[in-house]
Amino acid sequence: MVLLKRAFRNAFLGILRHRGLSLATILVVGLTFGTTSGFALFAFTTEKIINYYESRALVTAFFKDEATEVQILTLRNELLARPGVVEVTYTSKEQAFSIYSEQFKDQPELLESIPTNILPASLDVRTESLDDLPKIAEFFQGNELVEEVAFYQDVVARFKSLVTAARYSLLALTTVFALISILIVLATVGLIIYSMEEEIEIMALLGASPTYIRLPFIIQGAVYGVLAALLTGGLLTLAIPIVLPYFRSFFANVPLPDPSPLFQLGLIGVEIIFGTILGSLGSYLAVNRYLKF
Amino acid sequence: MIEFKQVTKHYPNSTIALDKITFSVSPGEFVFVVGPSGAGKTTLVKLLTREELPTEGEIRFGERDIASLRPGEIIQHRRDLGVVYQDYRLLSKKTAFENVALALEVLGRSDQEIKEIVPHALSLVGLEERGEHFPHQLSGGEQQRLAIARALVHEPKAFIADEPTGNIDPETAWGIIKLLEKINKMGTTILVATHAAHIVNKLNERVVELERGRVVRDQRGGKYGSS
Repeated sequence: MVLLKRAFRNAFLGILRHRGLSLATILVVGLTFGTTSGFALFAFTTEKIINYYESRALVTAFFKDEATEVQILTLRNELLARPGVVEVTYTSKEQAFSIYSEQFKDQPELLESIPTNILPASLDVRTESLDDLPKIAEFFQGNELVEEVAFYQDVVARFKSLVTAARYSLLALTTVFALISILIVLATVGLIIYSMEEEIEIMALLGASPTYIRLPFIIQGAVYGVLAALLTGGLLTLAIPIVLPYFRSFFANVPLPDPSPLFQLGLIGVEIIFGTILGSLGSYLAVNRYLKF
Repeated sequence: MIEFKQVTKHYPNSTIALDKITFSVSPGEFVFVVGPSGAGKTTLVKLLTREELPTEGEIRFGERDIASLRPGEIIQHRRDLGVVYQDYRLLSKKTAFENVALALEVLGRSDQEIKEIVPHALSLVGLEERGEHFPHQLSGGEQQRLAIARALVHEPKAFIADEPTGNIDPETAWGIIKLLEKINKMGTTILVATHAAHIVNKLNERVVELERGRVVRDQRGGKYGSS
């Protein structure tokens, strides 16, 4: 208990008495966290955008004239019960003609030349994953009520490989960023301990135990980590409302809601946990380097 | 209490700092280790504090073989010593009070004890008014006296000093030596490495003289150079 009390006192005295170095450490660690967190948020938003576009791909089934609305709606309910199906939209023959009329209202000759019931009723099916779309296409192809299935397999396959490449790239970049961030934090905290090498040696010469020597530095490292995390959390809270509208203007159709206060608190919480672990680990490793017996 | 048996210390650049030195110090004895710069005095102190290991030979402190101590035993060994280093080795970011208190903190002494003992140690070396000053705010002599206070505050079994009067005016140096004499009379073993002839010659204690890493003289009531 006395050891812990003294460790905390020495840690805080150390931070105050090495003000300049402490501030520099907090700024460097904070900047590193900020860059990595900013990139992680970018990756998270990009993933949302990819998800959105992925869910926009669909299979459309056009029904024969003899298919009744009841039969089609039964099929719709059957599809909605299938796992992975997100949305099934029914378009009746009338609705189809009204959409057609709306699209070609400036070309009345096109409207006059066709009867109002010529367009088929259809079902548009969207799934969570692109992988589920071929199964839906197969499902329709085996049904005698279906006249034609519109499923652009090549386009979907190409989009799928693009999405996979984008996801792997994001994952790889986020991992690289996180690793660089860890190394920078360990090196920065290590540098401040390096400046205290003599202090560590003197304490060891006075007969201080390794725990007595290490503990204040570990606490000091943890405090740097927490302060840097709070700094980053604060900056991100300020930056999100500024950056998000740019994403919204680029991807107008994609719903990108404001992050909830809970999400932001969670983000700061994760930063604090990482900051504490990395700060104290960095100190522990650095002190061990100079602790010779 | 302290025993050097055929101790040799070579440094990697093939400097021979100590060459087969043999001598012992009994409990409660006051010994000056004298010799010019480079004679091996500082190496001898470093071997005693286990900062360095001997290349050959054996060094004993009581029952301990210093070279074969395990890390936990090194900690205990260093707590049994009070050492004044040539470069003082004060903690620059701690006040004079905190520097002295550190020697008690590492022993696990209570805050209350520290509050009582440290001012007494500081007043013994005439620094009672300088407790809140940082080492860089003290003169060379004051820093040296602070190092002495830190070395004595935990009542070590042996007090070892490497040039403890090097930067002090003769009057203060004499005061320090009288203090060491007093502590020695209370039973603490004292080993002082110095080339301050005037101090050695006034005290009439045992003198072990080193020259180029060898013991060239070991004399009770000895003198050194010209006084």
